[in-house]
Amino acid sequence: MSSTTQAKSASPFLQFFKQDARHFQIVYLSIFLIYGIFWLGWAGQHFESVTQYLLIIGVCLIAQAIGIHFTTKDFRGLKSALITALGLCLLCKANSSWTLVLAAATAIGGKYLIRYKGKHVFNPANMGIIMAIIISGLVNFSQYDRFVPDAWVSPGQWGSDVIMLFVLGAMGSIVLLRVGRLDTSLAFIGTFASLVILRDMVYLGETDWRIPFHTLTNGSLLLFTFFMITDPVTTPNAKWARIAWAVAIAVISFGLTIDAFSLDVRVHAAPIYTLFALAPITALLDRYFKGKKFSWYE
Amino acid sequence: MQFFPFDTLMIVKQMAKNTYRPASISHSLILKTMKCITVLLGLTALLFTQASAFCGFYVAKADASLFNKASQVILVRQGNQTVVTMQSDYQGKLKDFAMVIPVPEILQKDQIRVAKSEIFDKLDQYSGPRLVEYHDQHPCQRYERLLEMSASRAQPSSAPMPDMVEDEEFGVKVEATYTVGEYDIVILSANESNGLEKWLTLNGYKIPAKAAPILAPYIQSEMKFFVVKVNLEAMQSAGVQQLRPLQMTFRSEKFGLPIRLGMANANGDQDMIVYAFSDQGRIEPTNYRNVEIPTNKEIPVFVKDRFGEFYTALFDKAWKKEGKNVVFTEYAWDLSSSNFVKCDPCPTTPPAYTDLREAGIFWLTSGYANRGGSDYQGNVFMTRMHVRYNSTTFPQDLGFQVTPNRKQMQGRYIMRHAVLDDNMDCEQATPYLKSVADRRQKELATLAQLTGWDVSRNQNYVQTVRAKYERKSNGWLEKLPEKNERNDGIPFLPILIGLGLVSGLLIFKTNLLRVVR
Repeated sequence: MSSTTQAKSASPFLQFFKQDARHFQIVYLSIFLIYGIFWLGWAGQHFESVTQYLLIIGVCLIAQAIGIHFTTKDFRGLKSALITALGLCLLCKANSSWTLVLAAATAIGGKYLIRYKGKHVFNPANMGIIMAIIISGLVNFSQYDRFVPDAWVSPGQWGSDVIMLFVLGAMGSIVLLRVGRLDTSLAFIGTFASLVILRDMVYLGETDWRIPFHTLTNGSLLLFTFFMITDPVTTPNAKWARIAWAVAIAVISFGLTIDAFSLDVRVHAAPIYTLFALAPITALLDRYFKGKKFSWYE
Repeated sequence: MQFFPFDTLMIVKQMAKNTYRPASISHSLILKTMKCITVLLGLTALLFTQASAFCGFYVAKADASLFNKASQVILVRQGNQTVVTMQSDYQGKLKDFAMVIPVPEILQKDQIRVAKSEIFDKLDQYSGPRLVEYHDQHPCQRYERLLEMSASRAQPSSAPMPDMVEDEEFGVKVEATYTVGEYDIVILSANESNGLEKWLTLNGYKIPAKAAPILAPYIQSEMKFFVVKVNLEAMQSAGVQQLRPLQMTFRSEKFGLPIRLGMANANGDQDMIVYAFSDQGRIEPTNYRNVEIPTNKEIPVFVKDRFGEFYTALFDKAWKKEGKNVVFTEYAWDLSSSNFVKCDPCPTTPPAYTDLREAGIFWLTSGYANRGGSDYQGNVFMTRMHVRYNSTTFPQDLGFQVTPNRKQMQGRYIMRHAVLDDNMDCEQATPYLKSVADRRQKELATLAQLTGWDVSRNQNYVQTVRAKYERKSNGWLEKLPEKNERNDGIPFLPILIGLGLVSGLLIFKTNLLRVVR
């Protein structure tokens, strides 16, 4: 966390920018979003996708502002809401704008309502996606007589370009080095990659390395690895507890992608479901493994 | 030997010949037409501006037959049940016809059937990229001519076939054998890929050299193999002239299409059109990027006779631009009984209950819907995807997911006919001609951008109108040549500057060398 080497005092703006790792995160996530809209064609023919992004950002910021008003009154916390909002824009899709409002509201609401020992339990963006899926699925139950959610995760929207691995990885690492959570990312992706490679190359007997590689360079997986699982507030405080926790998430998400266990939960989004399920364990791990509680301001 | 998807030689179909087709206008098209006319009559003030987005008359389409080596598949998915229908455009000898499809379970006889070939044509015509046309209103008179035209289609041709020897060896187990329609079907499970390869070879299937390593992962993940040959006798007794599509249904969490076997024995790129149906919304790929084909573009009227050519060029360019490893969505539409507008504009009558049942959409019930104007009840969303793949750009099989995404889109290209007769004596004629010349210039640029075609030869398309306009306008100022006209001569100035720079550099370099020495 104390990795800042006070460079020969640059401009005041740069100094301000470097004070908080969230500034980097906001810039990078915005770059991904703009890249997606303009180069990957996310908006497609539908301009409303862009207005939906603005809606998510607006709802998140308002919800956070309300939360801050009744609690700390420290409005620097709006940065976190912006990161959550950008994360939702990048990962969560929905047919109806109301579902997105729901996702944004529950993401931020969860931060203030579900807390344990001064930390919120669930990763906000993760919570928003899961809640949007669950609640819209229940609402639609009467129409379809089965669980049909209105929100979904679109793993195919990024494609699987190798360049993605480098860009997302490098940008993520810069942020994570500053907040000291690179260990979580590496433990997760290391375990997940090993399992995928073992399955494809050893168990299934593939001869082509591009098969596991194609899975591992998926943009959604990398975004999860470097920008979601690493949220410093919702990861365990102690280093080894954190690593064990990340390995557990990797193993369970991989397990969900195996046919024998496939529970029709859209296995492509498996890490997102797993993170949600394992979030309460963080509190447990913090109880037995002491570590310094994270703060954005050092 | 043929692996799914069907990589067969295609007869290069004649490009769309336009024929007038008066029939087959759906009632919703008629209603739409009436709506458009009303709108057009009402909005006479907007004569020279673009007509409202979703009217217009369908004139031509680019169908699947334009793409060489194109296979077509219908995918229907609800919950964990999938119905797959495969259309063979196989052109070789029927006794050589065979295909191997990995399936997740041992299929029972009632899970397999033959479907009618026409269903593919029906869906292709309904969902294919379309050219629509608008006619400008005469700047001096007010009337509207409407026209509907359509392209003729070439029918896929047929072919003839053999029988098979059964053998249980090499760790291969024949789980079931059925004769369904003109097909002899064997469902195999295997312990190892070399055994399966030998079994297939012994039974007269010619296996490409690269097949065994690709078969291995399917065997390991306990997939079964659905092996098909043509039963000539059954075909004769059924009186069928051409191979009909095979349809199968099964329950599995896996939702995808095995494309890797098909790539083992094929060189180069293959095209596949997937007509996908769900009861929720679009179906999208999970392990490849999904891109919508460029659409709603205004293109020059001379493209009308070359629309097929235009669309293949457009697809080719988009495919290269997106990195050759994407799945294009060409059409997405809500066909639910509650949706009144089943297409807009309609290239053909939208699929009816019998068509959708034929395609395998098992959850629909027949009967007229209250407001939808369809002869079925239930939710259906159709997605048409177009994939061009080879083993380099698509290393994995295609995975799909059903999404709640109900955004509609269609590949739609717009042609606007100008009025260029000699009765241009009114005041509005001059600005009208100017607007036509300007928009034609834009259309040419769009055409070049979409297809990569060289449009410098087509400058006449703009010049004729511009000449008319210049004759009309009296102001000497307007006679100045337009700035955006391209000079197609040799660009002398850049060449001169370039030459100067290069020679300067050379002189500088040699001097420098001399100094060093």
